[in-house]
Amino acid sequence: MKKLVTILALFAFVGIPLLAHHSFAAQYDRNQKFSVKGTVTKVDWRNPHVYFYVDVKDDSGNVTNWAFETGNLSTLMRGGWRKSTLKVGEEVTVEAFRARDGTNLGNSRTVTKADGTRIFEVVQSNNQYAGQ
Amino acid sequence: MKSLIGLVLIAAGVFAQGAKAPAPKPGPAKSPNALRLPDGQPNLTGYWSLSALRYGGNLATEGEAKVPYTEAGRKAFLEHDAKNDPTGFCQPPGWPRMAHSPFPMKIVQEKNAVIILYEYMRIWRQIDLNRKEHYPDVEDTFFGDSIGHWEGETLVIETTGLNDRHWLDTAGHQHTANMKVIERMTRTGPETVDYEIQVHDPEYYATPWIHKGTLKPQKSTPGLPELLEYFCTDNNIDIQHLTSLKPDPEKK
Repeated sequence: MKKLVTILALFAFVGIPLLAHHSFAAQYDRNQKFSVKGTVTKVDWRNPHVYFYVDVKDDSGNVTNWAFETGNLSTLMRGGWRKSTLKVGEEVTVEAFRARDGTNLGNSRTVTKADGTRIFEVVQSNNQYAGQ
Repeated sequence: MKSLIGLVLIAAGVFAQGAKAPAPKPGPAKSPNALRLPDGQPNLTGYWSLSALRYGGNLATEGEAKVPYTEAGRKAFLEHDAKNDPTGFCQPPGWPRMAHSPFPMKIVQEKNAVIILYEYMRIWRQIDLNRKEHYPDVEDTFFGDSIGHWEGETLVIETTGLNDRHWLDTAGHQHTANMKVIERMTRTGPETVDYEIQVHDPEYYATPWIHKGTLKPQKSTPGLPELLEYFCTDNNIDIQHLTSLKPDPEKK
C-alpha cells in the first residue's frame, strides 16, 4: 500500500505524458469524459502506448468491446507498473476521454480494479497540444 | 558503413554496461569547472533527463504572438494539420524536436566525438569534434550533420543538412530544409548542464528562435535498465483514429 501511495504521489507531481508522438486533441475530446465498467479481455503491453480492452455489458445484456489507451511503456514501468498489473478477466471501472472519431476507444484517466486499487493514473492535464 | 558498425558496437557496449556505468564524481556545487574528463574537457557524460526542455509539446511557451515568425513561417504553422504529424506515423522526430522528448538520454563523450543515445524511438546522434566543415553534397536527413567544438566550458554544436519532413514540435511549428540548429551545452555543476537550442531558419523565423533549459540527472529506476526500448512502430494504433485539427487563427 505504501508503494502504491508513493506511485500515486509521483504521478500527482509528474503525471503520465499523455501522448509522446502526436497531438492528443487530434485523437481525443476532452469534453467527452465517460466511465464504463467491464471485464478486461486483452492487454497490449507495447509501444508507443499500452492498450487494454474491456467487454462492457449494457442493461439489455449486449456486450461491446472497448479499447483504452494509456501511457507508454517507459513511463508506466518507471512508475512501477508491470504487465502483471492488469490481467485478462479482471473487472475494472475506467474513466476516459472519448475518441473524436466516434469509435469505441478512450484515453483512460483512471482505472479502478474491483478491490479499489487504482492503476495507470493520469493526474496532470496538458494543454490542447498535449504530447511531446 | 565501417563507422556505423563502430557506432553500433559502441552503443552495444554502453547498453551492456547498463547501470554499472560509473557516476561522475561530484565537485564543489558552485564550480562550473568541477567536472572534467582526464584530458581536461568539461564532462558531459551521464544519464540525463530531458524533462526540463519539454515545453508541453509547444515551443511557443510565451504564446503565438512572441514567435518570431516571418509571414511564410506563420502561414506554414496555420496551414499544418495535427493529424499529419510525422511522428504520429512513427516517422523520426528529427532534430531539434528530439530534444523535447519526455524520455531520458545518455551522453557518451570521446576525445573526438560526443555521442548521444536517446530512449525515444531508440535514436542516436554523433557530434564530431574533429571536423570543421560539414560533409558536402550529402542528402538532407532527419538529424542532419552535427559538428561541435569547445568554446571555453561550452560545447557548441552546429547541425545542418536537415530535411523538412519533420516538425519542430507537437504543436506543429514548421521549418525549412535550410534550417541550421546551434546547441550550447555548459556543465555548470555536479547536477546541471545549461542547454540552449537555437533555431536559425530565416525563411520562417526573422530572428533565431531560442529555447533554454537545464539538464538534470535522470534517476535510475531499480530493477530496470537506464534506457528502455521504445519502438513507435510496434503497435501504432493511434494513427487510424487521428482527426483533422488545424490551428484556430482566432487564438493566435
